[in-house]
Amino acid sequence: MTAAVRAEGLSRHFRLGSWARRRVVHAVDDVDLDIHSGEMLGIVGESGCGKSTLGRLLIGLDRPTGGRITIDGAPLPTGVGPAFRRSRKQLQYVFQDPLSALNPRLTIGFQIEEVLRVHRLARQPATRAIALLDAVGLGPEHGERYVHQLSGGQRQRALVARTLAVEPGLVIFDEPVSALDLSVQAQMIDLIAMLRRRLGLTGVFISHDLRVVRYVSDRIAVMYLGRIVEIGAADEVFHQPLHPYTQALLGALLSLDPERRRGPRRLLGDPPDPFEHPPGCSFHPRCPQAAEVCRRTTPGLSRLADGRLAACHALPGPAA
Amino acid sequence: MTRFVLTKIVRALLSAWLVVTITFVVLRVTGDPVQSLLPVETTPPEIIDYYRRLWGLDQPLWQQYLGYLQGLANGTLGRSFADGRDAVGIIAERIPKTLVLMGWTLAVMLALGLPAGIAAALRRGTWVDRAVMATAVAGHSLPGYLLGILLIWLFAVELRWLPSSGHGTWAHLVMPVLTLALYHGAVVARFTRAAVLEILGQPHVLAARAQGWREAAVIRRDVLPNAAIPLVTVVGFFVGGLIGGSIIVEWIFAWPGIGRLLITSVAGRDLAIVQALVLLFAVTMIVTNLLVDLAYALLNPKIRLLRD
Amino acid sequence: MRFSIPKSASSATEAPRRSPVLLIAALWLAIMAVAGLAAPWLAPYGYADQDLMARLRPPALVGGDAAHWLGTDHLGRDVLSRVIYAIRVSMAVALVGALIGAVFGTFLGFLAAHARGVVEESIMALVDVQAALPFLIFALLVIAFFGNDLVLFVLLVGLHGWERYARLARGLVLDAKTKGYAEAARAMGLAPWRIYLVHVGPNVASAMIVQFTLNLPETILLEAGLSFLGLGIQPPLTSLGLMLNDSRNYIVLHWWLPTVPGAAIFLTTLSVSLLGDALRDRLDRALR
Repeated sequence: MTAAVRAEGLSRHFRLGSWARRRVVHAVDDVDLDIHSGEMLGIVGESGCGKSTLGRLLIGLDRPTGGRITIDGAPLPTGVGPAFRRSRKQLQYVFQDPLSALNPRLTIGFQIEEVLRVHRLARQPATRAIALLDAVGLGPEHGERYVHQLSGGQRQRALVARTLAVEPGLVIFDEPVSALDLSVQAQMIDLIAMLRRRLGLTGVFISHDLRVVRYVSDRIAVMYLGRIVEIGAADEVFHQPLHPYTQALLGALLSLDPERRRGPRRLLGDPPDPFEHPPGCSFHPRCPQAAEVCRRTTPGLSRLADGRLAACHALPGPAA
Repeated sequence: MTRFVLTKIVRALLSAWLVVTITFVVLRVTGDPVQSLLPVETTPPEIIDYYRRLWGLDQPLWQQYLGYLQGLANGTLGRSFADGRDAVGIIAERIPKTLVLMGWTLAVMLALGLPAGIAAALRRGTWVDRAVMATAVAGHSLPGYLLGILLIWLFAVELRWLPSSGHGTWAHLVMPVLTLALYHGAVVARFTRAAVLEILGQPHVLAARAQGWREAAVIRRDVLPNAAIPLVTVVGFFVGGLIGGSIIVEWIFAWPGIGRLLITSVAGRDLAIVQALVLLFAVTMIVTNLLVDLAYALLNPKIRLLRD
Repeated sequence: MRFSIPKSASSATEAPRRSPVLLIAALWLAIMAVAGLAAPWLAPYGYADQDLMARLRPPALVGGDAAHWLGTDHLGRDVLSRVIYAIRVSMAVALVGALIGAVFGTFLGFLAAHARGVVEESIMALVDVQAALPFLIFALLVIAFFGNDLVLFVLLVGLHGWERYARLARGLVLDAKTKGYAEAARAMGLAPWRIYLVHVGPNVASAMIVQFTLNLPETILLEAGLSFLGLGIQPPLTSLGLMLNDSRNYIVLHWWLPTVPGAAIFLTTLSVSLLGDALRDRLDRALR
């Protein structure tokens, strides 16, 4: 089962502070995004760029303050109502921190079986739960344990097992490996790739690590301060980054590699303050190619001459 | 800081308004006070009507509420249903007697509780500590009405040193004050001990000791002033406890303060007096809590230095 | 501004042990439970049976006889029978009241954390007002306005401490929501009631139990106090506080009359407090 998601003009602004000194965070700002059936879309960006908020919005865990989302053409339910609950059989989220996403007072097995029972998905939930644990590489004995009795990798696997219990069409993986040791990271990535092949999942893979994203994704979207600044096929974005921010991310990543050292530059300046969006292009204070126009108008994500999508004034416009 | 203070004041005013309104609503939903005071079957209807008009009960509810608020602003809170005297006047007569009781209690409970708590903390784990804590736990299970009776039995019946109830002389004051002060002194001791222990464990005390200051100086300079801050925050709790406790104690020892007045008014369903007293206690508590918050803000640099 | 009752000296320093004091406390509470449950079979006389020919008899060991083990009161009623029934009434009122407070307060706390917005603000404003007013004053206000009635009295005792449960429950639920397992449960498509009962419930239960052990002794003392003031349980029914009040005038010559109910109140409250302390220590340690 697969699902196609379309987001148009999607925004999520948070109001913080009390009435007198309200500050607004533009966590997600005017994002257009399609997720194609069967693909794995990577979303990459620094922490605080709004990628988790975007992930939550895409499957209805949070309500957007602007724009709309459709799933296979139908509006996406949010909140806690029956329509939202039914839609969870389609749309799932693997949370970043399994230690907090799994209930500390209930066994792993109970939490998996509960999902199966609530959605009436298995005639024998206990047996099915063991099968699910097996699918993620855990034994039946892990079902009897509590989350604090598992290792970091096992916790992540248990969380994935619970998510898969509903046989979802679309799964958002929110930094599923960033909390894990390097060796365990590789296993986890392999597991996700294997599940994708076997179950034909549509997925979104959120990470701050461009290498990991590139390894698992078909396409990559690069986010900066709530906006998508570049999106394209994983290989293209990785090997031929267009947007100066993507280039900088790769530069930070590969500056040890002499072949790349001359091309992309490292990031200038401080990481952005999510409260203070600069006028014009959000990236201009840190951008080596910033021109006068960048300080005044915000570039939209547009199709460039070679058919790729990026949001930058410095790039050549579409072939007329 | 200004914002913090303003927020606290607004909250206090809101609480006061809530108490005032709740009291009014409760008073009205309980039905016609005339009918609960006069024997309905035997009272002629014109007399009932007379009293309804006299107390303004024939007006629509919102008018009664406005009149009630107006009365509050003017400092009139109705007349005693029992003898027709002004409720505020009746209460004002009694307030000094309760204040005398509470003032002495405050002095005695601090004189007992603070040294006991400090001693227990400094001699942690010794017999001093254990004795103080055992007394505190036992005291917590010995409410005023039990302790009071115990004291009456001991001082009035067995030893015949003190009068068992009433007021007028110094001797009358001893047992009510002891009853209240022993109970609350036990609680003060518990809090003091915890506060001092907390400070004793902090690095700056260790640092002061490491610099070679004498222990007495460390205690006086580094420990006690810092331990006083958390104690300030529980002052509101003690005022509440003292108000509740004084009601019982005034009842046991026939002390003619506002606590005893409250009990007799409740028993006699003299609602005007009850209402006025409840408002008095509530406003006292709200003001106390506000002052505690402000004092805490002044003492606590984290809040004092808050930018606006 | 809140405070927490400091822990007893033993909690931090000493390992758990079966102390004789705790054993006696548990034994005493067991006796109270049996006396309360089996009052009609244990009491040698009815609690209102008067024998004016046998007024103010002393207990058996100090000059009385085996007809009245704990003597009789000013109406010739058997003190032993009366105290057994008083324990039944007082314990029932305190337990039911404490449970009502726990359930009511916890429910409102969950509601505040669930609904947020205006509902939450209103509930927390009520919590603040209730917390600011000494409960005895509030209780007297209600009794003055609504009169005296057993059901109402139990409900009133039940209101004691609800605001602490509400505050605690709201804080814990909000914490659970931000911690993620509640949000993750919602993401799995579980209904709100299931998330609160099955997922959040077990995580806040121990804190609620701790609060209950702090509240129960206070509830016992509240019932006794109000009855002592003549504003709680009404005759012919009896309770420990009412017995104490009845006996005040006989303290000079008939010391056993206040001693029996007074000792029952003191020992029961003390036992509950001590066992509560021990339970809290154990839970604290289990949570670490």
